[in-house]
Formats: sequence, structure tokens, C-alpha cells
Amino acid sequence: MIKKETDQIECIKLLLVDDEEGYINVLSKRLARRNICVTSALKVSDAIHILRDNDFNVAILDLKMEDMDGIEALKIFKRLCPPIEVIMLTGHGSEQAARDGLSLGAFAYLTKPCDLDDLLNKIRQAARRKGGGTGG
Amino acid sequence: MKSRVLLVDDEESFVDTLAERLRNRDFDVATALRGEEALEKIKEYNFDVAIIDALMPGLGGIETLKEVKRLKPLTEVIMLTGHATVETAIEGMKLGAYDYLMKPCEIDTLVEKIKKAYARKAEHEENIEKAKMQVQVIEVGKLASMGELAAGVAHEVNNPVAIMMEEAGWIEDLLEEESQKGENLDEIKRALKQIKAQGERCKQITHKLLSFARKTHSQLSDLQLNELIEEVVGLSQRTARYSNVRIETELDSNIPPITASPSEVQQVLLNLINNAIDAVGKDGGKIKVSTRMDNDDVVIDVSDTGCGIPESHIQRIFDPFFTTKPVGHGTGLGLSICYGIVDRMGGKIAVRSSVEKGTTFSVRLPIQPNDKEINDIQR
Repeated sequence: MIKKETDQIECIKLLLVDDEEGYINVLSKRLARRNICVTSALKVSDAIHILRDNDFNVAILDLKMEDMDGIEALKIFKRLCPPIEVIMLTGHGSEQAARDGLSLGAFAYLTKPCDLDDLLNKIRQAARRKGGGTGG
Repeated sequence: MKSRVLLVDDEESFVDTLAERLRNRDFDVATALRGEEALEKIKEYNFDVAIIDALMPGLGGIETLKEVKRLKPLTEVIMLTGHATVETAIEGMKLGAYDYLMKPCEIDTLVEKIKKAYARKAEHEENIEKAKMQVQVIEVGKLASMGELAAGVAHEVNNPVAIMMEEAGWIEDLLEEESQKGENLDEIKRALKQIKAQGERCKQITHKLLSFARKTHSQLSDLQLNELIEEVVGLSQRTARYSNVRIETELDSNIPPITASPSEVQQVLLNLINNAIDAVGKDGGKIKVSTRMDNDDVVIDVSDTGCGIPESHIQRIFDPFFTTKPVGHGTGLGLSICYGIVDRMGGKIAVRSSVEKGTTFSVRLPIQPNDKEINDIQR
């Protein structure tokens, strides 16, 4: 379940967590082309294992995951790695969950399907906020 | 509760005695000596059972029966007859009397008949109530389950749409690297653009669907309805002028602020006004938006002088995806969304329409959100 798309040193290290394989595959490729170093996970449990052993600047987390509620996952992410900035992906209509997420320290949320440029902007803002270091 | 009985007979002594004996058996009894007098009382009070003598001077037993059944169809009638008027009693049965008794009758027999008639009336009323309830429950339940279905479909569709759009984007990324040759390149780019545009359209549809079904709330605030209406009407004036439509307002200045989400109320109003503009069409006409108080509710009426809604459509207009607009011009979700919003606010939305004359949508909103709304917020 782990895929490294690029190994550039300067790139933003991003953990992409979504249970739609087709989505993370294509999104990883597109982000990789834009100098973002993507590791993807299809399950929250996989993401947690990856997060324990690696440093990331930003995580993209789908709030609707099969094996765990997205908000639960967010709490664990922030506990394991407090400096990581989390961008939540939500379906339209789950704004409440998204707002809950923001109050738990998520950086931002986007509704799915989201525009790649919007997503890129958020990722870059999040990475800047964290100052590019890993710190965790 | 005591059964309420009206005793109608022109023999005063008979009426008085019988009334007394019935009262002793715990009936609530009123009397009338003539048919006309009986009808006055029938109009004024609700009786469970009327006992009517078939042979009376003036308004006869049969005429009295007919009138009683016309005025109060649920009141059960027992005819009292002499031997000579059995035929009349039978005619009375045909006209809806519950039963007849021959004079002189045993008080116990009469009591028995009254009780049976009362039971039948009660059963009747219960059935009518049940029938009413059933219709409402089906309607609300149907829309609720449609909302759930719609939300489910929208969520499921969102993911594949997202993937399709990203793949299209990925092809664009790759094309940038390709050497700029090949006569098909422009056509490929055009096709990709089209895929993206159509994906965007799918996204709009699923978002609308989800806002029809969504459970979350925008922020509630004290809302000056009249101000909001002026604002929305202002927004719609441009489209209206283009269609040669005049929008008027008639706002009751006494309406108190209501507790509601401005963006939701605005969405309802915009949907109704846009529909009204479409209904009026290019030939021009008038739309009137008015507010009024009705008991403790605020009512907004949006009326148009447009084409009206045929009877065959009116039952379906709140159903998701029901539209009369050409393919691609309407999703059929506008009124479903309005219904969802108003229902969650504890309000009601109703429609009156006459083909070729126009349509009026009435939105009734409580000044304070009801319990349902508050529970939803706390959820």
C-alpha cells in the first residue's frame, strides 16, 4: 500500500490517505509532477504505520474512510505528529465534520471532487505554515 | 365521553319521557319537536346520533334526515316509525340512516341501537383520521427516503467523477511534454476540455443533491425577512427584466424577525422566484412576493401570472429530478431543496395553481425554529 512517487529532497513530503485507489493513483502522479513527494495509503491503519516511521509536511485525509472515521484519524495524526498539517477532503454536506476537524487542528478542508489548483495552493500554504521542516 | 343524542319527535310528552330515560342511562340528550328546530341544533352542535320520527308535520322525517346527512355526514341517524310508515323507514335507510325502530319501542332496544350507531360513527371518524395521517406519512416518508437515496447516490458518484477529472488532468499534464506534432492534438485537447466541463456539471448536480438531503445547518440568526426579500428581489430584477417580467413586493411591516439561516431562506426565495420567472416566460407578466402574519407563523407568498402547473404534475413537483425544463436546463432539484430547507425549519410549503392563470407558492415559517430544528442543530 506504500508508493513513493518521487525522491526529491526539496519537495514537500505529503501523505495522501484515501480509500479510492483510482483517485490516489492519478492524484499521486499529478502531484509528483508538481514537485510534491507523495506517499499514499488506502487505509487509515496503513497511514498510521507510515506516519510513525516517516516525516511529512502535509497530509491529505479523506474524511470518509472505510476502516476509521476521518475525525478519529485526524486526532491520531495530530497526536503522533503534532506539526503535520492536515487537509481534509469531504463530501459536500459534511461541512459540520469539516468544521469539527478545523477545531481539532486541521489546516483546511476541500470538498471532493476538488480542483487540482485549489488543492495545490492549500498544500503549499500548509507546507509554508510548517516552515518546510519536519520537526515531529 | 357521553354520547350526544338528538331526539326529534313532534309528540312532546313522548320526547320528554324518552329524553329523561336516556339521560338516566348516561346519554347527553337534546330534543327538538320539529324538523326545522332539529336542523338548527344540528348546525350548532355535533351530535353523535340523531333519532328522528318519520312522521312529523312541517319538515318531514325523510327531509330532516337528508338535511342532517348533508350538514353532518358523520352523524348517525335512527328513524322512528309507526307501522304505517315502514316504507318511509326503508327509504330512510337508503338515504343513509343507520337503522330504524318501530314505535312503541323498548328502551333497551333503543339504547342498544344508539350504542351501535355511536360505535359506528367513532369507527368512521377513526378511519378518516387514519386515512389523512397515512397520506401525510407517505408523502413525508417518501421525500425523506428520496433524500437519503439522493445523498447516497451523490456520495457514490463523487468519487468516480473525481477520478475521471483527475485522469483527464493527467492526460493534459502528459500532453504538455509531448512534442507539438500530430494533427489530432487540438482535437484531443478539445475532448479533454469537454470531459472536464462535463465532470464539473456532474459535480454541480451531486452538490445540489446533497444540499437537498443534508443534515447540517448554516448559522441561525435573527432575520428581517422583508429586508432579505427586497435583497433577493433586487438580485432577480435583471433576469426578470430580460424576460419582460415585473416583480412587485407587498410586505407586511409588522412581521417580527424570525430565527433562521439567511442563506437558506435566500436559497428558497431565489428558487421560487426563478421558477416564477420561467413560468411567466418570454411573453411577460407579473410576479408578486408578499409577506403576512398568520397566527404565529410568517407566510411568504410568491405568485406569478405564468403558465400554471397542470394537475398531473402538481403531485410530483417536489420530487427530486422532476422537471419540465428541456434536458440540460434544469436538474429538477430546486423545489426538492426548497422543500428540504423549509421542512427542516419546521415550516410548510404549499402550492396553488391554475393552468394559464398562474401559480402561488406559500412558504410558512415559524418565528422560532421548532424542536425538530433545535434537535438537528444539537445532533
